[in-house]
Amino acid sequence: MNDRNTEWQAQERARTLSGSTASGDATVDRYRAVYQGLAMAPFPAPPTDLGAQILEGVRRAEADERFERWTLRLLGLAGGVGIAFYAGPTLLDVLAPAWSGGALPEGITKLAANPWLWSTLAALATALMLDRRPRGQVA
Amino acid sequence: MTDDRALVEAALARRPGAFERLVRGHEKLVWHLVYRMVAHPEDTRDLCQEVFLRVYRKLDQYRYESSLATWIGRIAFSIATRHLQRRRLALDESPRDEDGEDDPLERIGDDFDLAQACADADLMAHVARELEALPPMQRTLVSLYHLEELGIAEIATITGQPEGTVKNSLFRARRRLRERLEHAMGAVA
Repeated sequence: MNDRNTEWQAQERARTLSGSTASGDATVDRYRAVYQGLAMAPFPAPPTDLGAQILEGVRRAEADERFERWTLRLLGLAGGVGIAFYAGPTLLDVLAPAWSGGALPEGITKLAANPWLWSTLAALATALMLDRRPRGQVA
Repeated sequence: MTDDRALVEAALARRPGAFERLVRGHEKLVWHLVYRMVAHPEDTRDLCQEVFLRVYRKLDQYRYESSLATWIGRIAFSIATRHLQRRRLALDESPRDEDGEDDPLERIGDDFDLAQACADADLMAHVARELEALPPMQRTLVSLYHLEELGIAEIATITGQPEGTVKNSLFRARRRLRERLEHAMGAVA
């Protein structure tokens, strides 16, 4: 363990030395030579177009995700409209007695009786619900 | 860290060029880290792409608890590690693992001048080859510590290992490099 510590110290000391002057410690000098070799050894540099390629990939992914989000919204909207058309009349039948009892002003009652209003609201609610998933915010 | 915060906030606010600055500032680190792990240029290129895509998607989760470089390095390390695991390549083994053999260091006299030997360009290439021959984890640690000049604590954060484990692996890697190189150079001389 002691030898190991001594050698670790030599490894670390060699890291702090520069130039070709001998340190007076053979082990340190050997490690220093290894580090010099490492620093000068040929190493494949990143391709020059790497950054551009990465950015292009990120832009493409962002566009794909935007397309996916809007597709989901449109599907939600279409689903909501469909549901409103099927369920809307039944809902109106259930609510109509309460409205006709004069609980609401006549204008609002007429507006509320319009199935398109309910269809649109149902579709918007569905689309918003579907769109409320977490996502990244980086441009 | 202040620069990191400004850059991350700009990128999150979608300011033009902010994410590009982030990529340009860290592509070299990511390339070196991933290349040292997978040792394959084409795979490295694809994995670098994957790393920055992950950074793009997860940047709002960066909590400034480490430098941005360390955080990105950690993502790069985990993606490279997963790649090696998919390929069933062990992180701590090398095809030339010869632990059962006698120590080459024992066969080399104290008068061997490795510094002089390394002055030769061919021998520099030999250093590169010996580095490539290390197990992925060891060559990554050597690269991060000596070429990227990261500290032990930062490397521990990137690799998700205790500092003691990082030191131990680094120690073994450097000793192995020294032994193999001296052995090879001794054979050449």
